[in-house]
Amino acid sequence: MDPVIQFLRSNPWARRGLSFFSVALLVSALGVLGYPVYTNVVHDREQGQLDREIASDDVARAYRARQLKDGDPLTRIKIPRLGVNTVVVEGTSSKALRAGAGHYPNTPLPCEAGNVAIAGHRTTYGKPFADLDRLKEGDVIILETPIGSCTYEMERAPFIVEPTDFSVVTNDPAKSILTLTTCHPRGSAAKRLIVQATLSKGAGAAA
Amino acid sequence: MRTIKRVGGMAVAGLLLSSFVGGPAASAQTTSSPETYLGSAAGHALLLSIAGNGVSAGSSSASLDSTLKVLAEGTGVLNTGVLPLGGTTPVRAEVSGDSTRDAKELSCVTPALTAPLNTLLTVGVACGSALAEVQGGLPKAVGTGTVMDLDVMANTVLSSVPISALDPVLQPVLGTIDTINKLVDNLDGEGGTVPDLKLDDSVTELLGALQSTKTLDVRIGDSVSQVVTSGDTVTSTATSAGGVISLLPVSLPLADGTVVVKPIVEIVIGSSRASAVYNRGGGASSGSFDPSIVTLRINLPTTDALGQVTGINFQEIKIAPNLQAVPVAAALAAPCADAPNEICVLAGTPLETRIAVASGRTFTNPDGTVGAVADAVKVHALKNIGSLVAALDGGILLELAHSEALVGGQAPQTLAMPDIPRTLPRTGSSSLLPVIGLAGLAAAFFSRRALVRSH
Repeated sequence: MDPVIQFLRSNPWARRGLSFFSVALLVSALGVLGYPVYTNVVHDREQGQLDREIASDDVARAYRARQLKDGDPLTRIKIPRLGVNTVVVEGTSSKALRAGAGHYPNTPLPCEAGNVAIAGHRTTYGKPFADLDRLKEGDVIILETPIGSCTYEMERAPFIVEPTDFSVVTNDPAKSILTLTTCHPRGSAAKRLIVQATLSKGAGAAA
Repeated sequence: MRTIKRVGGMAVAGLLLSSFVGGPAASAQTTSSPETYLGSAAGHALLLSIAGNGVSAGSSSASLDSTLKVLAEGTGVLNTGVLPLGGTTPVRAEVSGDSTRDAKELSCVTPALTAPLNTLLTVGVACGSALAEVQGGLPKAVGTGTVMDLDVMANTVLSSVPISALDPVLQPVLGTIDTINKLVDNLDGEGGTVPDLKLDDSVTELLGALQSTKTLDVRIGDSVSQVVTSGDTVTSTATSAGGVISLLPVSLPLADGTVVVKPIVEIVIGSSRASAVYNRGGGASSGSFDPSIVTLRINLPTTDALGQVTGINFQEIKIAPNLQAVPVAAALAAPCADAPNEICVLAGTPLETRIAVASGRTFTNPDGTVGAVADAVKVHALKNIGSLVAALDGGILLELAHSEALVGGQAPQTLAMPDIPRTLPRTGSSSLLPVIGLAGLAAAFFSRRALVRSH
C-alpha cells in the first residue's frame, strides 16, 4: 500500500489538514487563473464611465484650467494599426492605471510642446498596449482631447530600456513628441518597451 | 465538521489571493532630521593684562554637542598674551560617545611666571579640575579654575617716572578739586568747619602711592563652567565667584593723628552668573544673567569731609546693575562720554581709568544660538599711560568674575516626502501567474484523490 495512503489512514488529523489545504489550494488556483479576467472586468467598467465623462463640459473646463486630478479622463488614444481606442486618465498610480492607460503628471498635456508621456498596461486591465512592439516607423498615433486633437507619427522603431531609465520621459520644450511606455517582455516587468512619435498635425490644438 | 473545513479553506484561499491581486499598500514616505544641540560656558575669576600681556586666573570652560562630544577645562593661571609669561597647564577632560567618562581631579600648582610679568605680578596657588562624561546619551561637562592669591605691583615700573613728568596730568585734576572745594564752601557756609581739599596733598599722595605701593591686592574665588543635558533641556551655566580688590594700599592719617594703611579704593564683589537654556522639546532657547552687586569703598580723607556735609556716605557705595555716578562726585567720576555704562575717572588724562560694574546682557546670534554674559567688574586703569611711559602702553586691564554661556539647537523634525517613483510605472503582471494557477489546481486535485483513497 502506498505509504502516503497508509499514513493518512492511521492519522485522522493529517487527513483533516490535507482536506483543508486542498480546498485552499483549489480556491487560490482559481483566483490566480481568474485574475486577468477580473482586471478586464474592472477595466471595462472604468472605460464605460470614462467614455461618458470625457465628453462632458466639466472635464473640458478642468482641462483648460489644468485642474485635472488623478484618475480624471484626459484624452482618447487611438492607434489605427493596432486597433487601440481607449480613454487615458491623468496619473500613473496603480489606481489610475486600472483604466488601462495613464498620463505622466509631470509631462505636458497632450498635443502641447514637449515630451507628452503615457503609460499603459500590456497584459491586464484591458491590455491597451499589448502589441506596441508591432508598431514601426511611419505608424500614427492620434490623441483626442476635450478641446482638440492631434496626430503623432513614429520616426523610429520601439526600443527597450531599463525600468529606472527616466530619461525617456524627461521633458524637452524644444521638441513636440509623444512617449508610450509599457512593461517588457509580455507578462514581465523586467524591462520597459518605449514607443516615441513626433507631433505631425494639430500642434496648437490644446493651447 | 465538513463545513468548518470548507469555510476555513475559503478563508486561507482569500488570504492567498490577496497577495496576488492586491497591490502594494500605499505608504507615505517620510524623512526625518535628527535633533541637534550645542552648549558652551566659560568664565574667569580674573583677567589681568598689563601693556597687552598678561594672564587669566581661575579660568574654566565647558562645551558639548549632540554628537556626544564633550570637552571641559579648568586652569589656574593661563597666559593670554604674546610674551611667554608662564602659567599652569590646563586641566582637560574630553570624551566622545555614550557611556564614557573622563574625570580630572583638582590639580594645584604655584605657577612660575617669567620676566617681566613676575616683577608686576605674584600668584599664589592655582588649581584646575575638569569632568567630561556621557551617560545614557546625556552629555555633561564641568570645568573649574581657582587662584588663591594674586598681587599686582605696577609701582615697580611707575617708580622710574619722575613726578614732574606728570604735570600735564595735574591741570584737569586741579580744576576738579577746585570745583569740589567751592561746592563744599557753598554747602558748609562761610566760616564752616569742613577743610578745603589740599591740592598738593591729594595729588602728591596719589602719585606717590602709585610709585611706592603695591597697586592691587586681589583675593578671588572660583570660576565654574558647566553644560548639563537632561531629557528636556541643555543648560549652560558659568559662575565666577567674586573677591576683594584693594587698590593702592596707602598710609592714611586719621583725625586723631594716628596712621592706618588702607587701600584708596576697595571693591568688594559678589559672584556673577550667566546662564542659557535650550528646550529640546520645543527647540527654543533663552538666556539670563545675574551680575554681581558690588560695594565700592573709598578711603580718601576727602570723602569723609564730603560725607559730613552732604550726608551721603561716600565711604561705601553700593552699585546696582545700572551703575549711576554719585552726583557730587561727578567731577571725578562720571559716565564715559563714549560708553555710558562705564564710569570714567580722570577722563581725558593719561591716568584715565574706566570702570564697568555689575553689567550683563543676553544676545541672539544670527545662527539662532542664544547666550548671556555677566561681568562683576571691568577696570581699565591708566588707559592712556602709554603717552608717558611707552612700556605701559595699554595700561592695566582687569576683569573680575566674567561669565558667559551659550546654547542652541533644533528639535527633531519629520518631513513628509513627496512620493517619487523609483521605476517607470509597472504595467505588466507576472507571466508566472498562469503556471502558478495550474500548479495549484494540480496540487488540489491530487490532494483530494489521496484523501478519497485513504477512506
